[in-house]
Amino acid sequence: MNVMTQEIDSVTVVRIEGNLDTNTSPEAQEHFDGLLEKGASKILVDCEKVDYMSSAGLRVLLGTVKRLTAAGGSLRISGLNETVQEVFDISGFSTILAVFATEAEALKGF
Amino acid sequence: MNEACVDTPGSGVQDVLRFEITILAVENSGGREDGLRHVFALTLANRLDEIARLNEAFKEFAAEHAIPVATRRSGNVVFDELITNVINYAFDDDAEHRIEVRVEVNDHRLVITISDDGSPFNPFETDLPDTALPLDERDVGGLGVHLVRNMMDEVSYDRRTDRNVVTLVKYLEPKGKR
Repeated sequence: MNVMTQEIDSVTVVRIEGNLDTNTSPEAQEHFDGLLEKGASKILVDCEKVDYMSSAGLRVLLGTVKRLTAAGGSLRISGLNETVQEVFDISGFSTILAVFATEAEALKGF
Repeated sequence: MNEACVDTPGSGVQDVLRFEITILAVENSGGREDGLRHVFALTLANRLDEIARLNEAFKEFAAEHAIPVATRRSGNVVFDELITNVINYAFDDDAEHRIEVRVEVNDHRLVITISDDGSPFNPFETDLPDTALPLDERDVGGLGVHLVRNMMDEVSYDRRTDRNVVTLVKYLEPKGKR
């Protein structure tokens, strides 16, 4: 897994590449913890290059969005492939997270 | 994948942990030709990094045998969920254990078998998570097995002598329709 971060206007865009699973989620967690500590309030997680995501990845996203919203911030997600979308639908994450088709769409009005 | 780096649990056990065979299926169900059957088998030690090795090897196997990408990704997710559970909860001691994974695919279905010698445990008897709770009440406990149930077409558990055996089936669209 690789994580790349870019600031676009007031939004911190986090692009994840590879798998978000048991083995990679601790590193992803550290990355998000770092962003929260630095005071990021709008985070866009782009998953266009995510191959698959398991519940370990969902745990990282859920923890991040909870802390972010408690601090008055918000999180958007974009670029889910068919399988990641299925994981989101089955787990009910599609209804509790703001999911957009593409990074560009997610950036609009954020 | 570097097979030379594999730690072989136990002693006196054959080092070759991965093999792949292709056999022409001779058994036809109801006269239906199942075509080529491909088998993938891997033995893992009970360490989490072994899941990464399995998932990489399964990805290669899927590419070699034209398994649809979405099906391969579903396999990667179920491996991560179920084998993480086995490694974290099945063993009461600090010894090394072997987890056997086998995948069999033909034109119609993908069959995954995962077995371990841990304490008897049926992952499919766990409570269903409430996936309709609002954000601040959500957690991901129990979500892994819930994903497995929903991403696969058939799931089953057997206790066979001293092993837990989980079998998962995913139906495949006929090749012409993929």
